[in-house]
Amino acid sequence: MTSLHTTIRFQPDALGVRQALDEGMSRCRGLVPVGREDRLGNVQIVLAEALNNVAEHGFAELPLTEARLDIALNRDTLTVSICDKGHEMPGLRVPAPKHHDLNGDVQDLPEGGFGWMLIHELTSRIDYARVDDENHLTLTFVLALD
Amino acid sequence: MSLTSTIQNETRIISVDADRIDAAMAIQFKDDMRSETADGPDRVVLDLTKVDFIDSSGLGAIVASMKQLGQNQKLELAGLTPNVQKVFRLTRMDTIFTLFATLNDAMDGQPV
Repeated sequence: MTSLHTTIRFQPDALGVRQALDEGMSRCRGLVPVGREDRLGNVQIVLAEALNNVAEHGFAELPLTEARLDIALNRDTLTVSICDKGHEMPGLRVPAPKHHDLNGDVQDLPEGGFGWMLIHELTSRIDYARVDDENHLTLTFVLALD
Repeated sequence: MSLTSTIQNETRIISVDADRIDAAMAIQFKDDMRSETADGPDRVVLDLTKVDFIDSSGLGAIVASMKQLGQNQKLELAGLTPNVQKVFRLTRMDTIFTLFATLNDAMDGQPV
């Protein structure tokens, strides 16, 4: 099987990332063999969280500049890279998953902070690099397509 | 955001007429839930049958909808589709809400 590759350019704001997610998932469905689209559920959850992070934190007090979503399928390994010129990740590292205590009072239940936990749980691998003034977040999924 | 609300057997049933609850609509969802649950029965069932995707902002909006209820009100969830259920399971929010496979099960009182 040859490697398949596609790129989407998007505006890193709330509506821009929603469109990028939809377009990205549509292209992913086009890349995997017919009948294997059900393997992409995790990709949708992870991609939504990663794109939301870019829109919500990446460009705080920065002018929005176009960002890029690269999707590649090589055998059954799907690689999704988000490249943006937003703020660098704190400590130049992939943020660790947060663990919440849900045992307290209802009023203390968390309403956010789940994103990185979902990304960690549902990917096979996460890579982050700051290349010049650009973030490259690469998310890898082994889809077991055979 | 479109929510449809009816009262049946002393239960307020709120159906989400959208295929997703995401970051772009989370605040609107929370506000609409506040108006829908401002009065009426103590038992509130949110029907998620039509929702095939939720992100963590959408999840947060559902949690917020529960927190803004009156003291005796209770929010339960029905009709979680597979990917929605997965987000609840991974965040362990499935342990906080009573979940029903379908709206009918919710009305019959048979949790998952």
